[in-house]
Amino acid sequence: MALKPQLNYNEELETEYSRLFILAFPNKAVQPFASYWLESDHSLMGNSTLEIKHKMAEHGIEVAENSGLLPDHIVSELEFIAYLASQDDEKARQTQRQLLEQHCAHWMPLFIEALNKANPMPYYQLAADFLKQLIPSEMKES
Amino acid sequence: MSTHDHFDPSRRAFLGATAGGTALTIAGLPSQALARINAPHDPEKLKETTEVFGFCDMCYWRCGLKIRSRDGRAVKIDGNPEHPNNWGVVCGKGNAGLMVAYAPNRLKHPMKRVGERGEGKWKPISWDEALETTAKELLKVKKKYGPQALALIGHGSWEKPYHRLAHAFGTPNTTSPVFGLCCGPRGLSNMMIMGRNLTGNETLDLENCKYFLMMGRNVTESLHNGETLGWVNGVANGAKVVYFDPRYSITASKADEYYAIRPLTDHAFLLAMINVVINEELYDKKFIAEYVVGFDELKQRVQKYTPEWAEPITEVPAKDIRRLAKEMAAKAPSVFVYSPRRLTRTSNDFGTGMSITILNTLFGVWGRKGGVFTPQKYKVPEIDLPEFEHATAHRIDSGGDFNYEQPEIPLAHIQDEEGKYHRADGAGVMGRWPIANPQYGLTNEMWRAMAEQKPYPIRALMTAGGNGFLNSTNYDIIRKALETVDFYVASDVIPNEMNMYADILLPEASYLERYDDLQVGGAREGYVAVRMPAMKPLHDTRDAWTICKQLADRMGLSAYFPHDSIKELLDDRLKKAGSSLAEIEKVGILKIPADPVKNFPLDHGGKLKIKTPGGSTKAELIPGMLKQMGFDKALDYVEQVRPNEDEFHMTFGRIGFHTHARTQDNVWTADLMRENVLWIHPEQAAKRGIKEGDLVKVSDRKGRSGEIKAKVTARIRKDTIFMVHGFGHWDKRMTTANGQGVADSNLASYAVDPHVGSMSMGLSLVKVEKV
Amino acid sequence: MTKKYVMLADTIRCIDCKACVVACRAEWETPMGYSRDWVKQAEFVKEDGSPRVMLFPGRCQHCDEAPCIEACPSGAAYKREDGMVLQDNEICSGCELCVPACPYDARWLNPETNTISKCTFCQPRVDQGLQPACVQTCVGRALIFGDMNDPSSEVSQLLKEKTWVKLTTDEVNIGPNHYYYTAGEALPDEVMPKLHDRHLAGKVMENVVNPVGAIGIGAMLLTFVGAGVLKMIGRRNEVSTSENQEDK
Repeated sequence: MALKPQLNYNEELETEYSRLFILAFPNKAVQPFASYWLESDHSLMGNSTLEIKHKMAEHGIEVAENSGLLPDHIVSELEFIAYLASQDDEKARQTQRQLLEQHCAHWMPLFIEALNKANPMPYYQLAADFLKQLIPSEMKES
Repeated sequence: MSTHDHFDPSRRAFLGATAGGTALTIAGLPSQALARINAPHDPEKLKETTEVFGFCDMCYWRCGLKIRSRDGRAVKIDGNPEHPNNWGVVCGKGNAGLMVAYAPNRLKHPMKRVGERGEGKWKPISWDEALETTAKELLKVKKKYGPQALALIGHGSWEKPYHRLAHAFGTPNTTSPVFGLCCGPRGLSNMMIMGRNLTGNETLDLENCKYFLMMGRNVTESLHNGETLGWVNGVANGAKVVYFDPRYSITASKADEYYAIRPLTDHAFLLAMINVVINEELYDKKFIAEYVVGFDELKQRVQKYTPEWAEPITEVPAKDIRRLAKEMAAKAPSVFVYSPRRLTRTSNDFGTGMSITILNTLFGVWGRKGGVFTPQKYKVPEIDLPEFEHATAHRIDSGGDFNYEQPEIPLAHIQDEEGKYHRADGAGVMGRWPIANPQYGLTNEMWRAMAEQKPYPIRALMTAGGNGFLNSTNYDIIRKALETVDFYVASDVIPNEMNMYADILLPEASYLERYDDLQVGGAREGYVAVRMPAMKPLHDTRDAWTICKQLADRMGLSAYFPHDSIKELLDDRLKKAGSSLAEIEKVGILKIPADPVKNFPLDHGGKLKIKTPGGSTKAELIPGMLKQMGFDKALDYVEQVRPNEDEFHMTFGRIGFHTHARTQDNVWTADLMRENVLWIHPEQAAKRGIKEGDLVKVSDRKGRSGEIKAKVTARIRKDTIFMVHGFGHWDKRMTTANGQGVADSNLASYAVDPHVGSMSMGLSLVKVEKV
Repeated sequence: MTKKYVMLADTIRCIDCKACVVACRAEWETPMGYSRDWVKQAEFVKEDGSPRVMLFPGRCQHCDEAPCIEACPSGAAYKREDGMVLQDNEICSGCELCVPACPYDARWLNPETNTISKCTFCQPRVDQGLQPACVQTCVGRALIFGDMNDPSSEVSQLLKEKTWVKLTTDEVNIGPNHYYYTAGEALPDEVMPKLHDRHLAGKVMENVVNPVGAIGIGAMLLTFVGAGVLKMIGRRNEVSTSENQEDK
C-alpha cells in the first residue's frame, strides 16, 4: 500500500508552504524531514530515514514513488501514524507508541519551534499548535 | 585472534591493595564475568552494499567512480581504478558528493515564481504545469522574435541534452563559461599554432616529464585528480619543478625553485625565455625543421624581449631566465611549459597562451614521452538526428577535450545571409569575435547581449546549472539581463543567486541519481564510460535528459529526442559501437588500450599529423590566420596595470576541497572550510594594524567592497592579496554558505581580451583596511 | 609470520586535499565535529625569511605500547596480533579515560554511539582484502598501508628505499606504527605528540600512594569495569541466544 498525500492549496497558501518548508525567504527553511533534525550534518536520507522506511515496510506501507516525499517527511510520518491508529492490532499500537516516543518526540518539537520562529501565517500557525498538542496526546492514547 | 595482556589481573592488583576493599579486586567480580571478559572480541564487519559505475560531477575533470549503495541510498563514493581520468583516486569534493544528493537545501520540487523576479517567493507546482508553462513561454518568444531569441547558458551536470534542445529549438545562442571565462585563450592558442586543444582532460605525459616550468597552474589545489596524480608521480620520478606564482601555494611548497613573479607579467617572462631559446639555439632543430613554420619571423619579433628587459617587469632575474632555458633544453623533449588552467587574467591572455605554446613547440614536446601525447578515441556514433537549423551550433562530442575545433561549416552559415542569425555573443562571427569558439561561445558577451538586447532581442533564458553572478565579474550586467528577459527557466540541483531569478525552477536529479549520456574520452587509452544511478531520484526531481525530452515533446521537437528513455539512447549508441548498455554496466568503462606507437609517434618512428585552422600541415609559430586579421600582434607584450602604493593586485584561486561556487553549501566540504579569508603580507598587515583573523574591508576602484577575515602570511607578495574563489554567497536558501566570506567575483575586473573576447579578471586593484 | 600493519605517509606526495578525511567520514558515518583522521598543515617562515609549508596526514598510530589500552578499565581497547589497535564497542562503557591517554589525540567519544571512535586502520575493510578507505582514495598516493613483516609488500620496499621517520619525542616514545617521509626535512613541533595532564597512568599511580584519593578513583573504576562487564555479559547472552536459535 502506498501513501499519497492529499494536498489542496490556494496560491497564498502554496507560497507560504514554499516559504516555510521548501525555499527560504527570508527565513531559513523549516525542513520537514526528521533526518535534518536528527543527523549531525543535517543531511537528508540519514539513518533515521531508513528506520522509518523499515518500520513502514513492516506494516506493508511505503511512500508512493511519484509523491516526491521521503519516508521521514512530516506528511509521510503523520500519515503513517494515522494509518497505525486506524489499525486494530497490538503490533500497530506498539509501533505507533515507539514511533511517537522514540522518534517524533525527538525531532518534531524542534521542527515546531523553528516553525513558530518563522512567523507562519495563521493556517500554518494552527498546524504548528495542533502538532504540538498532537504528539503528547497521541502518546497518551497509545 | 586477540591478545588479552591488557587485562592481566595482576597488573590491576594495586587497585585492590590500596583501596583496601574487596570491591576493587578482580576476584571480587563474579568469576563467570571474568571468564566472559577473556572471550575473544568480535571484529567489526563490513556491511553489505551493491555497486554501480559512474563519473563525478563535482568539477569538470569527471573522475571515474564506483558508488556503493545500501538500503536504497548511496553510502560511499569510490574511484574506478580502470578509469584513465583518475585511476581510482577520489578527492575530498568527490567523496562529499553524497551531500549533494542529501542536501537539505537542494531544489526538490518544480517551483513557479510568485512576486518580483529575484524576490525569492515561490509556489510549488506539478511537473506537468512546469513543463507546459516553460514550453508555452518559449514558443511564445519564438513566435514573436524568432528562435534566436532564446539563450541557453550551461555549467551544470552533463548539460548536453539542454544544448541539443536549444539547437533543436533553432537558436545558435548556447554557451558554457568554459571558453569565455576560463580556458579560451589557452585552448585557442594551442589550436591556432598546433591544431590541438590541450584543454579539458589534458593529454600530458606527466609521469615521465623531467622539467615542469609552471606559470601558475596550482595543480595540487586546483585539483584535476588524474592530472594531479600524474604530476606528483612525475615529481617523484625526479622531475624538476620551477613554479611561478605571486602566492606560495601548496604547489610552490613542492617546487625546486619558486619565483614570486609580479602578477600579470608571465608573458614578459615567456617572451624572454623564447628569446634565449632561439638566440642560444636551445630549441629542437630537427623538430623545427620537420614540423614548424614561422621560425625566422618569430626570431625577429622576440629580439627586443631580452631577459634584461624582462627582469624589471617580472622581478625574475635575467641570469635565472638564461639558466632555466638551458636547463630545460637539457631535458627536452621531456619538458613542459605549464599553462594555468584558467587563462583569463591579463589584458593579453592570448599572447601569454601563444608564448606558452610556442615555447613548448620549440622544445618539441608534441608526440613524445614526457611531453604531450596523442590521444586515442573510442568511436561511439551519435544517435540519428535531424538537421539543426543552425548547424554551427551542433556541439561536437568532445572526446574528453573541450573541443575548440572550428567545425567544418562554410562561413556562409555563420553570416546572416539567408535570414539566419549570427550568435548574439559574436563568437565565430566575422567583425565581432571571429576566433572565439562558436560552440562554447563567450558567456560574458552573451550576458551583455541579454542586458543590452544587442545585436538583436534575446527574450528568453534557460540555464542548466551555473551561477552567473559568482562566476562573472560584472553583477550589473547579470542583474540587468535577468531582469530584462521575458522568461527565465532554470534547471539545477542546488539553489543559487542566479536561479533565484527564475520564473520556473526545474529541480534536477543529482549525478548520483541518474543516467546521463556517455562520457567519451581520449587519453592514452580511448574510452567510453557510463554513468549509472546509485539510487532513485530523491524528492520530486528528474534527470536532465528526461526534462529535455519532455520539453521537446511539448514544443514539437520530439524528433531530436527520439528515444523513450535515456537508457534506450545509451543502448542505441553503444550498439552502434559494437557494445550495449548491459555490457558497459558490468564494467563501467570500455577502453582501447594505450598504444605507445600511437601515443608517442615521434618516439617510435612515426609522424605527427598536424592541421591548423589556418590550413597548415605544420605548426605555425605565428599563425597565418591571425596575421590576416592583424591578431598576431597579441604576441607582443602589453604593459599591465600596477597598483599604487596603498593598493594590491586582487588575485583568486582554488583550494583542494572546494570548487567553483557550488561546494560552499555542501555540508561536508563547508566543514573543511566555511569561509574564505584574505591573504595579506605581514608587513602590509602591520602597516594597517591588521592581525591574524581580524575583519578587514577590501574595496576596489569601482567602489565595490566586502568584509572578510585576514590571513596574515609571508606566502603572498607584498603588492598582492588573495582569496579562495566561490564564497560570499547571499542566497538565503544556501543556509550553510550564505553570508560566509566575500565574493571574489565582485572584486575582479570586467575587461575583455581584445582578440578573443574572453574575460580579463585579474586587472582589479584593491585597498584593504581594518574594520 | 605474524603480520605487522603499518601506515606510511609520504609528505612530499600529500597535497592536503582532505580526501582522506572525507572518505573516512563517509566510510564510518563519523558525526560532524569529529574525525578519525586529519591532515595538519604546518606553515612557517624559514631562517632566510622565505615561507614554507609541510603537510602531515595523521590518525591513530596503532602504537606498540598503546597507553590507551593501559588506560581502558573495561578491556574494550585492545591490540590485535597484526598490530591493529582496535575498539570493542560492545563492552566500551564510554568512560573516556582513554581519551587523554593518547598523546596523538586520536580518540574521542562518539556522541551517537556513546562509545569511543578512532582510526581502526579500516579493520573491516582490510580483513576483506581491501585497502583502508583513506589509502584507496588518496589523490597523491601519499598513503601506503601494509604488512611490514612481509618483505615483498609495498611498505617493506618503501621502508627500505627511503628514510622514514616517526612522530616520537623524548617524552612520547611508544612505538607508533605510522611512518612519515619528509626527504630529510625536520619535523615541525606542531605535529609532534604531547602528553596530556590527565594522562591516566601517571595519575593512578599517584593516587595509589594517596589512600584518600584512591578510594574515589577506585569506586569510579569499579563502576566502569562493572558497566563494561555488564555490557559484555549482555552481549554474550544475546550471542548465545541467537546461536541457540540458529541451532534449532
